[in-house]
Amino acid sequence: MYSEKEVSRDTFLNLIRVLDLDEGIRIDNKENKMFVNKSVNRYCIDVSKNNKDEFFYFTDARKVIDFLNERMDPACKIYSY
Amino acid sequence: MNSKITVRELKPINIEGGYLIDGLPSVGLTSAIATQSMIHTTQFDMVGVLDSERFPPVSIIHDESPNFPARIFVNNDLKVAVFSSFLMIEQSLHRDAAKMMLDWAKNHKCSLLVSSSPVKSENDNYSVMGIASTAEAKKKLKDAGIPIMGQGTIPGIPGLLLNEGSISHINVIVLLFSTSGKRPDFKSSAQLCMAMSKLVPGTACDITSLQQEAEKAEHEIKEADKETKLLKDTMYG
Repeated sequence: MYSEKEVSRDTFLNLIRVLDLDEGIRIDNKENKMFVNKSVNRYCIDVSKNNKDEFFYFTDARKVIDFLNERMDPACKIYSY
Repeated sequence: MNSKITVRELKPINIEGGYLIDGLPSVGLTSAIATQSMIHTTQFDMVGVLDSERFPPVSIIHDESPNFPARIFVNNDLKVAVFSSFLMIEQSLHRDAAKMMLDWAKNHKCSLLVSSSPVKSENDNYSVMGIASTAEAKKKLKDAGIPIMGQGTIPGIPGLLLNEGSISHINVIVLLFSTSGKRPDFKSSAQLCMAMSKLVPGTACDITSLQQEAEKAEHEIKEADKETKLLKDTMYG
């Protein structure tokens, strides 16, 4: 069965650093959803709003965290899937 | 003639709790192109082949090596398997193909089977919807923010996967991508891969190389289909 589970904001920051290839993180904001995936050499962030997607790429986990922190609602829900 | 499709596994497979992606072309070539480009952009191993007395007797030569036309690829790290074919699956084999995939997914303890199907659209918008076989799979679609189809008809292998999945409680999601028929298939394929990555982590991360690979895969698949058409016409009448 699916291993999707809700994670806290603190856990999530660590999760980004150790994100594995078979893991994804979904952030449910009020207005959009952000999907974080990782390939062999970089992170991919898909910002999805009204079924339209915009992609951002980073190699550094710190930059991913900064990017997400700027765009996460205070009351957002975070899931590991 | 026996129409059963057999699976020959050549390497150990461990995708327990993972995903099976259907890339067998039954309604258009987009799903086959999408999965073929996914295989090339992410590290997948060929772990098995699909065969049937009803398949055209043909070898697809690629990079100086012979290949079965229908193959199974696995990425054990991602826990993802892909059923991929260079050839359009004949309609009389759709039921066998769907049953074989569901049995295979069950035997390998996959948590979700993802398939796809085109939907005719008047405009040229890139949009993806989905439909699921179980409440659990439907929740997965909702959580990923993928709109759910309310009314419609899903033909071919994806439709059969949904029907069988719903009565045997196997999680199946069919992604429906709009197509006007005016643009190249590879653009819809790249769009489809991106939607898949919302459900299956790690499957599509690099949109530029994905589009390049999809364009290449479209050419390869269409060439293979054209070259074997005469053979298929002879076999299937």
